[in-house]
Amino acid sequence: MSIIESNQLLTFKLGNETYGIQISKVREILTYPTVTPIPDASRWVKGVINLRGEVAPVIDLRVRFNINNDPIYTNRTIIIAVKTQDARMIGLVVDEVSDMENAELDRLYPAPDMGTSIAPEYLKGLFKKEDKMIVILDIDRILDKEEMQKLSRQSPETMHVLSASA
Amino acid sequence: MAVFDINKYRQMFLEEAEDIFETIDTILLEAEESGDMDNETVNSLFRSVHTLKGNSASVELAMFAALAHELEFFMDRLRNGELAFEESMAELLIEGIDTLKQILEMELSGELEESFFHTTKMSLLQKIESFSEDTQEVAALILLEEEKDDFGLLMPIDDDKGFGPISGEFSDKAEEMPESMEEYFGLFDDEAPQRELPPFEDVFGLFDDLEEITMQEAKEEMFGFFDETEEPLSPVATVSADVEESDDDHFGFFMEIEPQQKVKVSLPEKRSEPKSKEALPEAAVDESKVAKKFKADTTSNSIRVDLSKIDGLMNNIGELVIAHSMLSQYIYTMEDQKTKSDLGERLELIDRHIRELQESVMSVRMVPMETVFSKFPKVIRDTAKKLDKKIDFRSFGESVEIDKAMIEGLTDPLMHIVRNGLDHGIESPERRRKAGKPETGTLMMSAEQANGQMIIKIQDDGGGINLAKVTAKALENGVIDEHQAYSMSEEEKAMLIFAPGLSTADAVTDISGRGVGMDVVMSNIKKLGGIVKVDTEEGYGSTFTIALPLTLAILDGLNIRVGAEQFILPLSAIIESIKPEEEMIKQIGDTQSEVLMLRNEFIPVVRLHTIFNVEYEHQKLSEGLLIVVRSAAQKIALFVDEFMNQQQFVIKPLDRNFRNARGIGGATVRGDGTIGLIIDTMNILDKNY
Repeated sequence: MSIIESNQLLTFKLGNETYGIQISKVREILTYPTVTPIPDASRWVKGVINLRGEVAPVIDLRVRFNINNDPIYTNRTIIIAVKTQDARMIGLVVDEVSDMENAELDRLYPAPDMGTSIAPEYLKGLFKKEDKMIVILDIDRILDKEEMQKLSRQSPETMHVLSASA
Repeated sequence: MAVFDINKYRQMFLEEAEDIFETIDTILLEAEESGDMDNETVNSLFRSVHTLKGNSASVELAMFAALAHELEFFMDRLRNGELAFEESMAELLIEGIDTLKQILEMELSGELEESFFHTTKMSLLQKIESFSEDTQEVAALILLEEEKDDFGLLMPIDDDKGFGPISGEFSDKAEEMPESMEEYFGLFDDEAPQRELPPFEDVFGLFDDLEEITMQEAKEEMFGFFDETEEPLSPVATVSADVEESDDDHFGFFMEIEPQQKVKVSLPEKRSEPKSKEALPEAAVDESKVAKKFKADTTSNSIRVDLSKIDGLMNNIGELVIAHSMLSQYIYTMEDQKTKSDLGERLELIDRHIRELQESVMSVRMVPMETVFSKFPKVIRDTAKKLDKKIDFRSFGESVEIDKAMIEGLTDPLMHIVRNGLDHGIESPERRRKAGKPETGTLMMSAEQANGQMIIKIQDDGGGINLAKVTAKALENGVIDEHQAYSMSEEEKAMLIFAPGLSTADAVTDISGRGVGMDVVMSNIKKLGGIVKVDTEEGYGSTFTIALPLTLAILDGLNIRVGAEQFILPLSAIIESIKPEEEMIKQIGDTQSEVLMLRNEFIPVVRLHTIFNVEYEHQKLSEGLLIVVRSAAQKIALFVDEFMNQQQFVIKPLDRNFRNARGIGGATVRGDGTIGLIIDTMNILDKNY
C-alpha cells in the first residue's frame, strides 16, 4: 500500500511508559462518558459508547496488556477515539494524554523481545527523543477485527491467552 | 403465458447493473492502485460479473452477456489460480468493464452492430490472451471468433445490395420481422439472422425519435382514405403509420430523396391490401408498445436515490429524536410552571412532526414484495425453456412490505436458489413421469410476516438434494473431514450446499454449476441479519426458508430493568407479561431449570441476570416480572425486575465497530446520549453465539 503515513504522533501514558499512535488514526479525545457494558465481554472491554452516532466499543489498554489490572474510572479519565484502517471506531482508555511529537516512522528502533509491557508483535517500534523513549503502538494490529472478536469473549481460555501474550 | 414486457425487466437490470459496475470499478481501481488483488477480491469480482452475465441474459441482452462471459471466464481462471494476478491485469479488467458498459449502452439503444461487437470482443480476447500461459486454448477461441467475424465483415456488403429488393417487397419483409427479431435476441451466436437485423434495428432506433405530430401527419398524408376512423386514432393505424414513416427514413438513408417519394406513393396501395395490413401491425404493435414504454420509463416520475442517503436521513431523524428527548428530560427540571407547560406543549408538537417525518422516511424505504417476485416469472420461463422442463411458478404474499435496503441484497440470493432449484431440483418431464409425479414441476415462493420477521420460502417438488453426493463432494473439496462427515446430521449435511465452491452439478452450465451461488446466498442473507435453512427430502423436493428482520432501521421497544442495567426488548417479540405466583413456577429435575406453568403450557424461564451477568435484585421469580416472548424454537419467559417506558428506537449495529454479543441483537442511542442494548430473543439461548 502506498499510503503516506503521517509522521505526527499523539503520545499518551499507560502506567509509567509513554506510548504513541499516529495522529491520523485519532478522531477525538473525550472524557469518560457513561459506558454501557457488554454482557459477555472480557474485562478490558469496558462497554460501548455513542461516538458520533456510531456504537463504538471502549477498550482499556491497561487491562488488556496487564499494565494496571484494576484502574479507577472517573470523569477525568481520558478516552482516545481512533479509527482503524478498516474504518471501525474504537475508544481507548489511557492514563493521560501527553503531547504531540514528530517522528520518522521509517527510522524506528525495533521493539525488543523483552522489557516492554506489550508484546512486540503489537508494536511498530521504539522512538527515541532526547532521553525519552516512546513506544509506538501498531493500533491496527492491536485492534485487529478477528483477534478482538476472539479475545473479547469472557471465558477462562481467553484470559489464559491474554496473560500468555502479555 | 402473457407477453412479457422485456423493457420493464431491462430497466430493473439497468439499475442493478449500474450498482454492480460501480462496485466493480471501485474494486478494480483499488487493485490498480495497490497492484495487488487478494482471493476475496477476485471472488467478489467474479461474482459481480457472474451476476451481470446471468441477469443480462435473462433480459435478452445477448451480446452483453457474451462479453461478460469472456470476462467471467478470465476471472474464473484468476480465481482458480490458473493465472497469477499481475498489476497490468487491473488495467485490462478496467478496460474490459468499460467495453462492457459501452456494449450495454449500444445494445440497449439498438445501435450495436455485430461487426463492431466482434471486433471489440476480439481485441479484448487478444489482450486477455497475452496473460495466458495456456495460450492454445484462447488462440483456438480467437480463431473461432475470427470465423464469425468474417460474417460480420461480409454483412454490410450484403446489406447494401439487399436493400434494393427489400424495398420492393415491403410487406413480405414486415412479415419476416418478428421471426428475425426473436432469433436475434435469443441466439445471437447464429449467423443466420444477421441479414435481417439492420432493418429491424433501424426501425426500432428511429421509431423512438418520432413525435406524436409526425405520426399524425404521416397518417393524414398517407391514409387520407381512412377518414371514417377519424378522432380516436385506431392504434393499428397509428402504429402502421409509425412503421411506414420509419421505413421511409430507413430507405431514405440509403437511397437519398428519390425513392422516398416512391415508397410513399406505393404504401397506401399496400395498406389497402387486407393481408399486409394485418401482418404489419401484428409485428409492429408489440415492438412499438415496448419501445414507447421504455422511453416513458426513463422519464417517469420517480428518482433513484442511493439508500445511503435515506440511511443518512434516518440517522438524522434518530439524532433529532435523541435531542428531543434530552429537551423533554430537561423540562422536568424546570421550576417555572408557566414556561414548563408552554414549552411542553410546543415540544409535543415537535414530537408529532418528528414522528411524521420518521414515518415518511420509513415509507420511502418500504416496498411490496412484488418488486422482488416480479423478477422471477421471466427468469423461470427462460430457464425452464433452456432446460426443457415444465415449471409452474406460484408466488404468495406479494403485498407484504419489505425494507428496500433488503431488496437489493435479497434478489440475488433468491435468484440463485431459484436457478439451482430449476437446474438441479426439478427433474425432467420424463424422470418426473417415471417417478409418478406430474410432468410439470411446481416452484412456490411465498412471503409472510411472522414474529416480527419476514419469512420467505422457496419450495420445489423436485428430486431434493442428494445428501450423499453433497457430503462426498464436501469431503473431496476439504470442506469437512471424514470424522465430521460421519457425525453430521441430515440437516447439517444439507447445509453443506452453502459451503464455498461446492457444486454437485456434473456439467457447468450458464444457469448454475460453477459452484458460486449458494455460498453467496448464505453470505448475502447473513449480511441482512437473516438466516437460511434448507429442508430436503430425496425424491420429494426441497424447501429453502429465509428469515429476515422486517426493517433494518427502527424498532418499537420496551425498556426493561434487569438489576442495575436497562435493556430494550422488541415489542414484536413479546406475547404477554405476568407477575408470577409462586405456585406457577415448577422445577424440573435439578433446581437449575425452572418452568412457568401458564394455563396449559410449560414455558422455560430464562433469568436475564444470569445471561447478562448482572447482580440480582431479587432471587425469587415471584418478586420480579416474567415476560413471555417468542424465541427460536419455543416460547420462553424472561425474568426481569421492572418494566420501564415503551419507545421507538433507531437500531444501530453492534458489530459495525465491535462484534455481536450473546442475546443482543443491536444497539441504540438513548435520550441521554448513552447506548442501550436491544435484546435478541431469537438467539438468547444459543450458547454458541
